[in-house]
Amino acid sequence: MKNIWQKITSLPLNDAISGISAIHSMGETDARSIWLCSPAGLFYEENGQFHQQLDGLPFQGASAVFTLGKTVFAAGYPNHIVYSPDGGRHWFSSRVEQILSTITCFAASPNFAQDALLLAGSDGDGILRSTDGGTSWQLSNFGLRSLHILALAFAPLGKYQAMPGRPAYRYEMVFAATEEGVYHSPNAGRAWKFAGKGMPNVPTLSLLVSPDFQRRPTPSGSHFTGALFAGTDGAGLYRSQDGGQNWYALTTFPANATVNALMFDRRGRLLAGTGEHGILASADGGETWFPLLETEEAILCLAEQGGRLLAGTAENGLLAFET
Amino acid sequence: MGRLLASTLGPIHGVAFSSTALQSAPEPITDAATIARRVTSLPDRAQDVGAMLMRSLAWRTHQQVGDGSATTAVLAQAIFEQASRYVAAGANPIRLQAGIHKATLRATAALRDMASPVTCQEQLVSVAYAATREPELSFMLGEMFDLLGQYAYVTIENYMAPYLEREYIDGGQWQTKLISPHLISEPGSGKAIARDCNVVLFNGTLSKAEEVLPLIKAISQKEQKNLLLVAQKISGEAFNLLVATYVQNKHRVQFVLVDLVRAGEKALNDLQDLSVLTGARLFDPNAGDTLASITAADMGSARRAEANAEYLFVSGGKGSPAMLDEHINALHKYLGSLPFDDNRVAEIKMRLGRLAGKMGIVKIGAYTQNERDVLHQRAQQGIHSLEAALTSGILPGGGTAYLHCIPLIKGMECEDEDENLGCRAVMHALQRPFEQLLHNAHVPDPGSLMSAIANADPGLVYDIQARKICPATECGVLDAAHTLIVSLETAASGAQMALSTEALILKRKPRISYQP
Repeated sequence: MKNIWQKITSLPLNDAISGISAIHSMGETDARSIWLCSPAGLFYEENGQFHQQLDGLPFQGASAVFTLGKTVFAAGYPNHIVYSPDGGRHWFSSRVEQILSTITCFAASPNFAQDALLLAGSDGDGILRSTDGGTSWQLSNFGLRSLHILALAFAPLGKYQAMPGRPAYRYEMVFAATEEGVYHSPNAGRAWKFAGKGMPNVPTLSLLVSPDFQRRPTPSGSHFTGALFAGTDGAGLYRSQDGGQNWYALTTFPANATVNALMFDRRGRLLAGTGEHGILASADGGETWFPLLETEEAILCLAEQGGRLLAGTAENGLLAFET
Repeated sequence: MGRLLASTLGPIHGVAFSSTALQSAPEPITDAATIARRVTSLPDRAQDVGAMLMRSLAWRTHQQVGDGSATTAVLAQAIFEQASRYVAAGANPIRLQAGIHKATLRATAALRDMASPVTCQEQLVSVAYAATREPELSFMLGEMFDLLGQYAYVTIENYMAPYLEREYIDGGQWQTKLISPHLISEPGSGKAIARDCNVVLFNGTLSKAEEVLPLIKAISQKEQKNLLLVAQKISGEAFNLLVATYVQNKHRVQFVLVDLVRAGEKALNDLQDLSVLTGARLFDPNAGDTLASITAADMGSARRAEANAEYLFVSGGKGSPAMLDEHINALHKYLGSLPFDDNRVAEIKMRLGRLAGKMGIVKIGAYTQNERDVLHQRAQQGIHSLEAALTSGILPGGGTAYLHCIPLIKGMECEDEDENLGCRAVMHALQRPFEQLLHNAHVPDPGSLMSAIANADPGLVYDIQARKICPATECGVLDAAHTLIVSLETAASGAQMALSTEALILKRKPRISYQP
């Protein structure tokens, strides 16, 4: 298969694209299936063409976008959060606890259908938590030293029992990348604990949790299986095999790379969007890497939709690769 | 009384029902401390003296560590019964007491040596479960103490319907009253919020305009104009001027102005803690201070202050870390000097929690008052046990740790035979919690199980629920070391007192004490 990336020319934008989110199954032919955000605004793809979302938003420049089923969540400058329950047709403003900084990222609980829980990271006010599906947001910063949140990632929910008759341990693990490293919360963002042992003293920009992440009982407590990945600002990619307790640099990854985005594609490959090395891919959980897109353009975000890999760049709009 | 309390020991035990004329239905009680509290007298006057002594021992342990009341009762009864036999056979009670004292010291030292620090959340959950027998509650408390650490200050809120949730308080919490609803900047939550604010503290009443004018001038000259003002009372012209200043400038400044709710020494404690946390000078009119001379250097600062109708929350105080550490250490020292049942203990723990930013709330609820009381009490027991576990470490539970102390006492040298008998009374008693657990759970052949555990690796326990011997950390049968130590010390102390009693003086009209 030829590795050809093409610039999406229908997108009237050459600004930095800081976030992409894809709606996978709307079941409608005119679905607005891809959403992306940039300082120039919020954009969506409809019938193969990109358009700017102009109606219903209290902001112009968008700082983060996130889709969940048909619901689209978007954040704009300076500190707005809006949501659209019908794939972008109608928009509502969320009630947000008083913050002054911009929302940088969103994450939804794996159990969203039951708990309606969402988290949003901000660049200076910490983490906002919503338990009503994004209608209202409250700060939830207990334990955080750094309030500059750059990425959030939920781990799969889990429950285990050391022995029959004993309490079952539930964990709702979520990780936050901050300017001072990685934090974890065992209780879906109610409180946070530093979990960046072994990470360099640089901001952590991206996080990824393996789908097989689990907590298992051991004779002396419990241990985690499944890897976590953390991309740093100029210090390469780090991996933890113990639930974020200890981190180790992936030596096969460029050591001084800036890793802006991480994702698993539908083939299970680990993709890293970097600042200097284009997109690197690994088919063996980070042991070896090969280039998927060689460019000097900084890749800021990644997404996959309908057999297409999408990469948002810093200055060259959106690139797509038919897989 | 001893037998009644002993019947509640362990994960599988009996239930006592308490019935009073005031209650329509008898109250089920499953923990020894509550039983001890409910039994206020026995009909037989002589028996009543012994029962009240036992009640006092059980309650003392409960007050000190929140758990271990049944263990205390079992140990006290066993030491006393065995020693009484020796006395009846001609042993000198004073020398027996010396032996009991010596053996207790040896056993408690061994328990301290055997204790291992808590290393993971699962161990905390196990300790909480041993105290509460409530899986969900134990999980939540274990998680809270894992995140909050040793100096956690966890309070309990009761709700009128089944509910279980936890909340972590970012920063410290103070009981205050927002002086005016005009200050509310978030109408939805009823909160006034000031970010990156200057902090001014005044230990008195501000009522005149001229008292606060210098403050308004000083603030207006600062680049950052947001303000948190805490005073005992803000009223009259001072109130009007401050609120009017805020209302006129509400789009440019954020004001949080609060009155302290607590009075006297507690109000001073509140202000002192805020002063250390934020670096603000504490203006005290009793020392002649006024706000007339206030300068920028007198103001502290905080990342965020928010107040609602009941509380003020301050986080990210910019006080000196060295002074904060010194203040926390001084409070720790003071706490260590207080007896466990002193009224000031709770206050100091609360101050330590808010200074260290380690405050949390457990929210529990049930439909009936009885259920709520039981849940509340269990949560309290769990909190005490977890505090003890984090302070003193953990030991294999189910009476196993006591069994492993016996060989050490056996190897001790005694001055005479009577002292040796005192040691033997303690050795006998150290087997009793394990036996009682098996007895309560109707486990057959306790003798062979006891010898199997006594001769096994110290980390192994008998898991009564699973009916097998297994590593304590694996099955989560763990106790806080402090709980076991206090139980033994209290039991030995009570047994020695009873042993040395020669006569009972019974009053014609005894007064009933509801406080054990």
